[in-house]
Amino acid sequence: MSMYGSDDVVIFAGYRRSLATLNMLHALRERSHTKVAAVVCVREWSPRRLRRWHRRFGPRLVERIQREFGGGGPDDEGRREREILLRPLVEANLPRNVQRYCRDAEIRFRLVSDLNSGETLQILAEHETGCAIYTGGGILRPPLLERLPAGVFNVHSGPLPEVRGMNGVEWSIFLGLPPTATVHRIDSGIDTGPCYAMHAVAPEPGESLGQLRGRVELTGIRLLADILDDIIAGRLAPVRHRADTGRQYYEMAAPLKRMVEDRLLEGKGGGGGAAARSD
Amino acid sequence: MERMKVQRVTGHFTAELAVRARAALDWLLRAQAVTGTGGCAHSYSPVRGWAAPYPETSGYIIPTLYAGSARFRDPKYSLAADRMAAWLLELQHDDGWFPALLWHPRRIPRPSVFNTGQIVFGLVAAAERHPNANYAAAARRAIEWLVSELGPDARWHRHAYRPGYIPSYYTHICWPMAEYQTRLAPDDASLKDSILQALAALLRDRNENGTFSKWAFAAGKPAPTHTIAYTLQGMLEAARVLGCDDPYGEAARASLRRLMVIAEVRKRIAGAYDTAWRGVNWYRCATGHCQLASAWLTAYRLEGDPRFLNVAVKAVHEVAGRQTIEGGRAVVRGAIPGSIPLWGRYMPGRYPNWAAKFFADAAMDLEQTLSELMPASHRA
Repeated sequence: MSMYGSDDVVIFAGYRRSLATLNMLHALRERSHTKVAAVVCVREWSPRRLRRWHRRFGPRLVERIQREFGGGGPDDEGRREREILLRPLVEANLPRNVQRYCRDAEIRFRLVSDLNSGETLQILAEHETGCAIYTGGGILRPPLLERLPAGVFNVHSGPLPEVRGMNGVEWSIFLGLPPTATVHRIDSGIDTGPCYAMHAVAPEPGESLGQLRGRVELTGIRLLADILDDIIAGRLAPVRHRADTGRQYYEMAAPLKRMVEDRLLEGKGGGGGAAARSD
Repeated sequence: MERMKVQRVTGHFTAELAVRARAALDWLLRAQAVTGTGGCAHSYSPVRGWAAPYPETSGYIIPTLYAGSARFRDPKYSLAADRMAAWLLELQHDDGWFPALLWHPRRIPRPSVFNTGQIVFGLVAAAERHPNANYAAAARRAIEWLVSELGPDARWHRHAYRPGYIPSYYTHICWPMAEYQTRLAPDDASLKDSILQALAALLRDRNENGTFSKWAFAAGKPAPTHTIAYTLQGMLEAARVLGCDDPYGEAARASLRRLMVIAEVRKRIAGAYDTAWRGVNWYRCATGHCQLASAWLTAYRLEGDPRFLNVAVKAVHEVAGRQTIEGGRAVVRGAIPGSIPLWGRYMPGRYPNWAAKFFADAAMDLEQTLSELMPASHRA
């Protein structure tokens, strides 16, 4: 029984075709005793989201939408990453749509305009859960985090605290660090919350950046599913880092990303290692 | 479209940088040739054609041409720099100052503090290449005049672009003075002291949020990234050259770091910012992009923080995409626009010579930096 009451967990999702969410649902069913009470998913086509994306991507908005919601867009590495994430779902013959998955698995599925909205807080109140897993949907604000005292848990693709922020796999390789999946609790900072486990992922010979990104993400998802029961039961103590340690990285410039790809092809992508739990 | 064409030819971003830097340098040579004076034309406008030669920027184009000559092993750039330096000597007043505005044979010259400072860059570079010529002496006269113009508060009050407004970007006078002091007058402790006092006065313009109160062209206006970069790079490089990182270099890098984060989070470098970091986003100042890239590269080398390198790559990448190097009108081949889009607020409708200069500087610097990071098998 959880320290906080209900054992159930809510999953936050960014959109209905999220492969991260589908893999998390699948991994939890295979590896964890924790029940998924509901999936709270951000509505894809809200005016607010479109405005935000337009500001962010400008003339590349269509390409971006295609990549996020379609088959991966013209970006080869994005397609390769998606192929890795699709594989477990194909092997298990699972639907590619979170809403459909939830319907088949009898999990409540709710669409909201914004994870930080009153709608979300109302849904959490209905399920009396104090714990969530984040698989997408935007930055979480303090009122939502405070409503989940047992924690919101996330998989970060990068060793923490050294590589916070975006493109964790790319920056790890650039810095000569092993690509790593980290399970941590979300707090008000960017990837500054306490860490529960890490697993370094060694690049395979000839592997592309997209494929490696997909494998790191899957590794993290499975790691979180493996340890979630222990986290909820309070059997796993996290490691807390000072908020000012490490650096928050941003989207890697395309020429630097190509350099990282070259390093991977030359077998200089950083070493992997055994699971490193923080207990 | 233009950028894609080049990438298919070279296959590597660093090789593309070399091609584009060289194109910018070649454009500067054309901008010099059209004036018939040795000076570099201020700008080119598709509507008005070539402008008159501009002493200020001709001054700091000189070291860029020398650097290009070394990088590409092509003497035509250094010969052009020599002609430019010789022309500038003709313009120097007996008191040591150089004139404001563009050059015109019938214009009555008046002194400019900022322009004199920028021309010192060129005189120092020329003096090192031609120690037996008059460049060192000319640089000394210019420096002495600049020092004589410093007020008791270590600020330059006279001969400003806007009378009565002492901009924070006068740090970009301290930098060439520092270059002169360390390279041509290393024993002049009094000069070093004057420069540090001027820097200290300008540092007092810095706000807590990392902006500078007078880094715009005029009071109360947003500052284009051109003058923001002048301010920050001026302070950063003066501190580096003089070996006074604390507090000047640290302050400049903190501001550069703040701007880096803002640019990354907002996914754009605005054309201008006010002192609350609110961006004017409908245009980008291409000149400022390149200057900031150079400053960020210096910060990267000093701190080892690859995020500075990352944002510098993005800035140069964006400007490179606006440079025509094949096809189009020959007269703008290699040129860099003042703004993106061309009708943006900074130098609307024109291709300034200093935009090409700063682009060449940033591209050559970035090419060198990236080459050092690349595996040997991938170096151009």
